[in-house]
Amino acid sequence: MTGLALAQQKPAPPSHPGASTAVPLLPTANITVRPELFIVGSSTMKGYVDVTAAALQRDYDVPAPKVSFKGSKTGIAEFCAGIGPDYPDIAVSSRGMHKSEFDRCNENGILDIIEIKIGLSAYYVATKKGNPVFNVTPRMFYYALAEQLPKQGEFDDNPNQTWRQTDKSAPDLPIRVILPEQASGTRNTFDGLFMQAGCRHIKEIDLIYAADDRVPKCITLRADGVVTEVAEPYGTKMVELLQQSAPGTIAVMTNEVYIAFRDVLELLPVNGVLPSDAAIERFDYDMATPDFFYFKRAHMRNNAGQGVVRGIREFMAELTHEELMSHGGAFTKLGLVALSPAAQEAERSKVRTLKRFVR
Amino acid sequence: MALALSLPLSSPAVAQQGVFTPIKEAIGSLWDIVRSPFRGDVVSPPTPVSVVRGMGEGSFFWDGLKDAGYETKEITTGIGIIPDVKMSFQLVRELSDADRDDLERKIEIDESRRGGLTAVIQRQILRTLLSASNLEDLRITKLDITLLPLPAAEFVMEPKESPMSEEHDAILRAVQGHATELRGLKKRDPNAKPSAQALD
Repeated sequence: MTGLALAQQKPAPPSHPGASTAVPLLPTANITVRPELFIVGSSTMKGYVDVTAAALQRDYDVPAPKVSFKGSKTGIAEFCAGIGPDYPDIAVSSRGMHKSEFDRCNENGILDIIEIKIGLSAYYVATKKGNPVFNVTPRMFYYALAEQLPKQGEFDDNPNQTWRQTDKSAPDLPIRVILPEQASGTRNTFDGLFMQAGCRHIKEIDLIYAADDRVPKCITLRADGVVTEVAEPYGTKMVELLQQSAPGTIAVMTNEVYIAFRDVLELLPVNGVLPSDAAIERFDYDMATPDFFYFKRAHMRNNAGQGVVRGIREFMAELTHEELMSHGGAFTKLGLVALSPAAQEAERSKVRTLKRFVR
Repeated sequence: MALALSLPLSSPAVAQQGVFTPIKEAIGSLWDIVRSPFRGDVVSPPTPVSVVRGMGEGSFFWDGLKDAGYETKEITTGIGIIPDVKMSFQLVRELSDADRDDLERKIEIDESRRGGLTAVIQRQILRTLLSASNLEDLRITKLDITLLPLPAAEFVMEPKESPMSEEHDAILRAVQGHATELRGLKKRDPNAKPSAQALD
């Protein structure tokens, strides 16, 4: 397959000045083996990919990217599997690439990776407007939702039925939690930020050396009706369930979902902090993770216009453009908390210089 | 070295001279590194008791070591003109991806909030442990942090698949023997529960 059709750049519309000028010295020829970009990674970042792809297609004659959202871990594994038209060009991840993943990339010949941080995503705990609001902690989630809890050195079925049983300061209301289904990227983040954080440094848990044995003890949820799981895309269904719910019912969602339904939802503080852009930016609100895009330098076109695919540098330029990345930009409308202006500029500098990411 | 450097400080007149200010600052930094892991004011070299007390929750570094899967194994101290304090930590917990993400985030937050040489060294130690937790073939099994006379960190790396000691080998064989015995019992009668004798 050789996509030799030279896709011309469209003139930049007046509303979006300088999209093309942000990408210096682009090759003029286009001798590529795959016509469309191949993007993999976390489903929680689908909105950012869609917005960037739309901007790219508005400014350039390029086909819609091929996307596959199977989660950050799988996405990075696929990204790092090799170089060539069968492998992804871009990975999106709701966490930074681990050293082991970076090493795997290197082993497979992917030596030049460009990492772009676009901002911070937060995970909110919400209830129906009018329901009691109380502070929650990861430890409370663990005591409320884990299938088994430590009891005198052993693990036994979770006996907790009310929030007060998980924390004395919580109301005496039945525990009911609505979560995205297990395959969801949000659920994966919930497992890490809430459930694993909640069981960290509990004596009986800490005594288990192997992570593979310890993690299931933390994230396996009870199956007695306390937890309701909602399939992706979970936003509307989750909010519907919350509207019919009894006091004490709470749900965990991304900021994107919360923003879409904020009129009928009330946020709960986590670790005593109510989420806000300022609290997330200052790292005061704990339930937030940085969002990253990873790009494969080896798939970009060289100066002669040869490469795996056209559009990687153009995509990077769109991604870091003020229209998308800055405060009040398209990403923030989807719930992303923007980086500081200086940090944004640092990311743009990476795009200009194609700065190699090292771990 | 600590003794030699402390001499200029003993004379206020000398300390006031501009030329000695950088030296004074350097000594200040050095002493800051040494005593920073301990909470509260330290006017004399730390004792094992003060070291243990200072390791309570709330210190970024000690909490970070715990988050990295390390627990205190021993504290060695020596009293003299130049006292020495050395702490040994051993790996007690393998990190999960979420553990690594959490620690990495804490380091990043600390970086944005806390400057200075001490903080840089502490973060570097934690980052080294974090990187090592990702290695496929090796792991840091022991970490020695020397606080006095000069701060230092020593990492002991071992292959993950190292040969077992005689004692561990005997335990493993005994466990495997029992497991085989239990499987045999189940095959003969799937409903049979293992007898107390079989579990002895």
